[in-house]
Amino acid sequence: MIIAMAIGLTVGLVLGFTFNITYPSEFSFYITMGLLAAMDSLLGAVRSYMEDKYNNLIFISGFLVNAVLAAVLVYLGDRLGVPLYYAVIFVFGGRLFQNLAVIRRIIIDKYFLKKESGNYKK
Amino acid sequence: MKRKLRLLLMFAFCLLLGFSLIVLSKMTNGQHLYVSTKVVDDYKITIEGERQDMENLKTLVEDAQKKLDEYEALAEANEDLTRELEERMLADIAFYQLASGSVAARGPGVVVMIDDGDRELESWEDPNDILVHDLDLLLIINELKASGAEMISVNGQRLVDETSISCSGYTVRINEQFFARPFIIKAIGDGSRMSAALIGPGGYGTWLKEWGLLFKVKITDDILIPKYTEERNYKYMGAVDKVKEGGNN
Repeated sequence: MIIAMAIGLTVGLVLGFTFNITYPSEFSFYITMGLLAAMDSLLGAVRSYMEDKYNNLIFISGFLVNAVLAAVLVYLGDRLGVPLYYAVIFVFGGRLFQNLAVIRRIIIDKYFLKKESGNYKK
Repeated sequence: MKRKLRLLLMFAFCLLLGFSLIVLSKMTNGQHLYVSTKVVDDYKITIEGERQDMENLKTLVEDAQKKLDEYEALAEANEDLTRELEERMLADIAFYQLASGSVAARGPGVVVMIDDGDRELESWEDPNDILVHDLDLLLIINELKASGAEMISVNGQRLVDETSISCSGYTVRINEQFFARPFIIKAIGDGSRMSAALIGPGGYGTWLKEWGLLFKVKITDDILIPKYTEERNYKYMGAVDKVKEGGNN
């Protein structure tokens, strides 16, 4: 799985460099939010994989719903003049660190302390 | 099967992630690039305004071209008429130059001299009571205009439509230049009428004198008022109807 992810990432980077794609700068914020949602979902997937709780449906639906909610918040904030996108940034950013911390613990337990990986909940 | 799907999903996601990461960073070039809809709207309005301006300019050019064609046709048709036209236009220019302050002017009128008072102050009085202020100047100028002054200068500064007179400490700013006492106001117009308005009973000059300021009015036959020397900037104004103005000369 790690290999698939690494390959996907490199291919994506290469594609991004080779194709010169432009988009209206109005959407840059939405794309950034989508990116954050994708990163969050990915790390969440890795974590649940390591905890042996991974489920395709949860992964996909989680990403879609989160991305839609993020987009709605950004749009609403734009309309209302209130920076609601902060909520998106804080939640996704916080979750990134949280998930990473759990993954780190699992890896340390598994490969350095040679313990049986239990059920980790933050 | 599930494992395959998972692998595929992970692959696709990472691909998407890397791809959009690069695309995004390429677009922003490290600059802050959050554009709110309000900013977008503002820009839209600005662009619309510029477009309107361009249209206006185009019509202006067309008008000028039309006028030029007219003049050329006239020139070909009749020599004398052309000369007459030219003379009339030159006379117009001279008049407007005079009226707008781009050339010096002379004529009969009044010379008003105002200076700080030199009387002893009582203990309760404020020294401001006997100093000349920008408001005094403005009121006198207004009085002069009300009684028919055609052209006014203060300490050699021609007053035009965009002249401002404001206080700046111990000096007064006129046309962006600073002047200290005494203030000499020259006005071209009906001298006796203007001086009567100022120094008559209840006139503003009389009132200033009562306060203790020095105030003198002299009726003269020949006053020279210099031209306006500052640069004129017209940035925001525009004619209401640019199309049909003066097209029938």
